[in-house]
Amino acid sequence: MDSVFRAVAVYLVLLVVTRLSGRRTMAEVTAFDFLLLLIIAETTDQALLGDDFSVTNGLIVIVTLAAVDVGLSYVKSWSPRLALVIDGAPSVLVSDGVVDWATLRRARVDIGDVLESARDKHGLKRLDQIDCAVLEVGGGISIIPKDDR
Amino acid sequence: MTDEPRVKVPIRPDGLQLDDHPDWQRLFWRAERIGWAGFALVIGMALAGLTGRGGWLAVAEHRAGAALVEAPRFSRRGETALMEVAFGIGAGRHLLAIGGGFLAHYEVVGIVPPPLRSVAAGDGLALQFDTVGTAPHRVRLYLRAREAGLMRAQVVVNGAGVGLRSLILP
Repeated sequence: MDSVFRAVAVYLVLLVVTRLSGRRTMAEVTAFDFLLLLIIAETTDQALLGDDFSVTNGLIVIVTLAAVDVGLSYVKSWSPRLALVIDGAPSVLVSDGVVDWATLRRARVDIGDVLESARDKHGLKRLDQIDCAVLEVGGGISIIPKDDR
Repeated sequence: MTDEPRVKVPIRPDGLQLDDHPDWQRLFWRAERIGWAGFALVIGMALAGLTGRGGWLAVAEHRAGAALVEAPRFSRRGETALMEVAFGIGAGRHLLAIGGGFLAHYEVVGIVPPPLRSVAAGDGLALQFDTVGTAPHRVRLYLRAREAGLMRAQVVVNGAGVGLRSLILP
């Protein structure tokens, strides 16, 4: 019983903390971010299992996490409002070639990140070659180049 | 039954077909900042000792007659904790009685020095110690918190009682 509560509690805490940490964190996983993820995983491991390292406990925790995840995906598909709360919405960073600096600041995205994405995905050299840029729900930046580049 | 999505995605003036919910995003960014304040609060609480294991608020001092009882104010379930009793009076025989409420939440895993006598007293425990030399004579009880919740118990040292309260976090 304890294992199920632990798994649900840890799932919810991770969901809230990840959501509040913002997409910016997930947008660029640097070497340090990767280390941080490993540390969080290790800490979570102890919170999930406690001092019970039995196969049974591990099995219960894994099944509970998977069930909560599946359940939540169903709930999200039934309630778009809840999906919006949990997943967020895409943020338009550049629209019609105009940079929305307020959105960039609030979403903690640097203009350099937009340019990097433009170089990486479309081989664009300059900001004025970008028609639209969107910070997606998953943390990536989508770039739509101008037609007359 | 149709497989078409219930929510239609609008097309923005710039041609992007996406629903960016700008009002909701502004609300969320505000909530996000409040969430960060919550992170800082949690860290502050942990540094202050409100989550147990160190920090100036983690341990409470209680006076029971001439004795001083230091007991955890906040503990974590499954973790070790320390209760220290300093008998303020000189050499001789000292009696320490711990109420049942304490033992319901904490398991006593060790006592240093070991008591001369240890007897059940109701649902609690009565311990007898012999001391030599000058006061204060300290007794340490090594504990393990086993039940989360609010612990309330009475501790009596040489006839003087004191109420202990401790919050055991899950």
